[in-house]
Amino acid sequence: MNPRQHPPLVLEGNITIDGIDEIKRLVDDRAPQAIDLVIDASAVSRLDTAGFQLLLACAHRSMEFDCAFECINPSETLLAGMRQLGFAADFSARSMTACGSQEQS
Amino acid sequence: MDHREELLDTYIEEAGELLVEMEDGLLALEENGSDDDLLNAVFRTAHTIKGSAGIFGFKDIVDFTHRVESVLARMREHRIAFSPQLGSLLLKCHDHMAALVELIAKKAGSLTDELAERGRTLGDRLGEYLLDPALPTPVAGATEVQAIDPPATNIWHISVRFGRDVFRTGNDPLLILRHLESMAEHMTVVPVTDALPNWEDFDPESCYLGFEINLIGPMERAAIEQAFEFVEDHCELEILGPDAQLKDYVALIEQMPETPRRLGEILLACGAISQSDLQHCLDLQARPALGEVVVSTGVAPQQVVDAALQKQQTAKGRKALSIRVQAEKLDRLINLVGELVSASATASLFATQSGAADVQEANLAVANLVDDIRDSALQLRMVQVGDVFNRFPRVVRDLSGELGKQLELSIQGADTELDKTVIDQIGDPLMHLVRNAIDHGIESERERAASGKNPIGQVGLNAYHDSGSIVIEVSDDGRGIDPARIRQVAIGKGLVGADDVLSQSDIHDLLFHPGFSSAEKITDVSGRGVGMDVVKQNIESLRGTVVVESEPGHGSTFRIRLPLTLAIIDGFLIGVGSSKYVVPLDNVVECVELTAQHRRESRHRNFVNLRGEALPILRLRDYFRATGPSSIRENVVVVTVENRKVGLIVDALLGEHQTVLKPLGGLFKRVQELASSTVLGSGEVALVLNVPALVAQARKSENEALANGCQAVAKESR
Repeated sequence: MNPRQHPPLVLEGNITIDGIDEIKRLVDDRAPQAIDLVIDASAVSRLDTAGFQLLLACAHRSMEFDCAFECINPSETLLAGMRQLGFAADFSARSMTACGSQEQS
Repeated sequence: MDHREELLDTYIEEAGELLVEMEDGLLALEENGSDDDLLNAVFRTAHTIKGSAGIFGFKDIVDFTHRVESVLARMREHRIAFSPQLGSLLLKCHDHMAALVELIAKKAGSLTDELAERGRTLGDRLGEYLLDPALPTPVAGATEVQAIDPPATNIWHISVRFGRDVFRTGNDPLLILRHLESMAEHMTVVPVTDALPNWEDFDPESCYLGFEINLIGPMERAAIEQAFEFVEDHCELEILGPDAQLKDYVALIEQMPETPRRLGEILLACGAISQSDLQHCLDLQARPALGEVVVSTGVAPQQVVDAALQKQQTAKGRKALSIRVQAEKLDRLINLVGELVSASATASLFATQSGAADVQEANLAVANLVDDIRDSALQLRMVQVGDVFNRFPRVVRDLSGELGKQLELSIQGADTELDKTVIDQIGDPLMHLVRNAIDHGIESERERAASGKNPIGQVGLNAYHDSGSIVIEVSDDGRGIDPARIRQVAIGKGLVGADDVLSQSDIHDLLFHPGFSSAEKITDVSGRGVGMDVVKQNIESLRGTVVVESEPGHGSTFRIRLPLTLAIIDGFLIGVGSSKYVVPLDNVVECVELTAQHRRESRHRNFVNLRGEALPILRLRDYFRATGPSSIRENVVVVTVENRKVGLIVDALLGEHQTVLKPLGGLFKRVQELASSTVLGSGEVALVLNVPALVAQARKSENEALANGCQAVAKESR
């Protein structure tokens, strides 16, 4: 394990506007500045746009603090939502902040 | 209630209204199946119901309505002709859609097996109309009908930047994107994340996202706009249609918050414009604004340009002329206004007692404003009775088919306004009366023909204002009420004795007796002997009355009289012994002093001579067994209900009083003569009289006195 990295932050269940403040607090507690952040999203069953935006902000944060961000084992729900919102599927900071596009038919 | 629930309530309410429109349209199509305007209107309602359901992810509604919409689309294209069978099927589909919306309203979760089965059956029947596109069924007489709102089959571009509060209002952009995706053949989405702040400033409940979206498919602008209906106040939205030109993209680049080059790159990424288009746009965008050019070249002065810009802003800022407000918010407002009226009465009392002219003057100004506020607030709750009447064309149509009777419904006064609470509760009693009129009142075609009547039975719904009340009439031109038969049934049921003397109104009142039914056959429509008593109870619970007028062979009219409002009324305060009562001012005709001659005339009798007219009276002191000193000068308050006058003899006339109605406790449940209570400015409680009940009581006493008199005369003559 990278010395700057804590064990993965496991997110499960609903990642929606209702509990989004709490999740941000968890991220802050788990990974202060310059600490790499790994999120295990395998058990995420429901996300809304606020939830995706938080993950996106985590990706931005990694660039801001020059640390790594990784979302491991994204659930099918998460991947489908990302596709619908036009984000690339690898959830890396670079791909999420780039001007990519997702095509749906 | 969180905002999403509020939005859901709005959806349910709007869906209900659209379903009413759809039903009206379908019924009108039965009269004129080739009316393109009607077809388009019905199509649009179905389309809107589907679209809004899509935003919330109500898949059952979307899927079913989509099928209905497909059939309607074929009808619009004149590939399917309207037929009575198709009309009936579409009405059943409408009912199914209403049931699906109802399911959501009740938060009942997944479909019941019965509902799912019905959906499948109806879907299959709709499918029969979608089977063979090669067999168009042209409408007779239709030659070249231009399609209204022809669907576009090209590329649409949508730029949307959501406002910070969009999540907090219960909206989720992802649902909107999913809905757009469901409409399109192909969709490309590019998220715009430029507004995302640093982690420290990032508020996870705020939305910083925008999207550039390309849609390909046969869509209409209205459908796309509708997808954003619930967020229109919380986003910047631009929709460029298939006919958009480069200058439109230039305008878009100018409008959106990102830098022109950044947005240009995004548009390029989602395929909205090409590389050369982008360069051209940026060149055009770099030119000075039109206004600047106009001013610099001297075409128009700066003031003119400013005025034009101002006008543009005003036009943009113009909003819809009406807004939708939750009923409970209005209730809260009315309650507060009620408290305000009570507090104002107290202030008026103290102002009068103070004797200070300036205080009284200031108080008068406040009291006048309170009056205006009260009237305006009450007006907010007024709803057109047409909202209730609208359901009856369908009822009459269905019963017509069910009972094999030709029927025609006439509706008058649908724009008459009534308090929403009354509107909400009057539907069921009206439904019962209409069904009763059709089932029992209107004769079979054969009977009507035999008696020389038009074979088409007439049913009428009429509403109008009368003496501060609303009157709703349900009438029919059927066989009318046979008093002999009613009497016979009542005797048979032991409700009256064989020798009882009954007036026509007494006989009609028997119809409202619990368990009374003169129907010879029990049908599904009515005739089980339950209902008419419930009708009367429901109407009386609204402080209303119901009376019947009927002429055998010519029909009947049930006349319901309802108060305009149930919250605050203008009252007339009277004193009886040590108690105070309020008479609704609308019922008061005049007040006269009870003279010595009146007293002499009324001794041992229940009426006085009022300018040559025998006026039944009720001495409230005796009636309510009031205590306290009696007045030397008594007064007669003449009240009226349905042109029947009665004099209430009271001890004191205390003047007009704005009366905030408060419900009576259970103790008073059986006291028909009292409607409610109110708190006076002094803090005393006054009871509000139920004038119709008092009038009925006074007239009953008068009739009994007359009957006793007749019997006494008969006994003496033997």
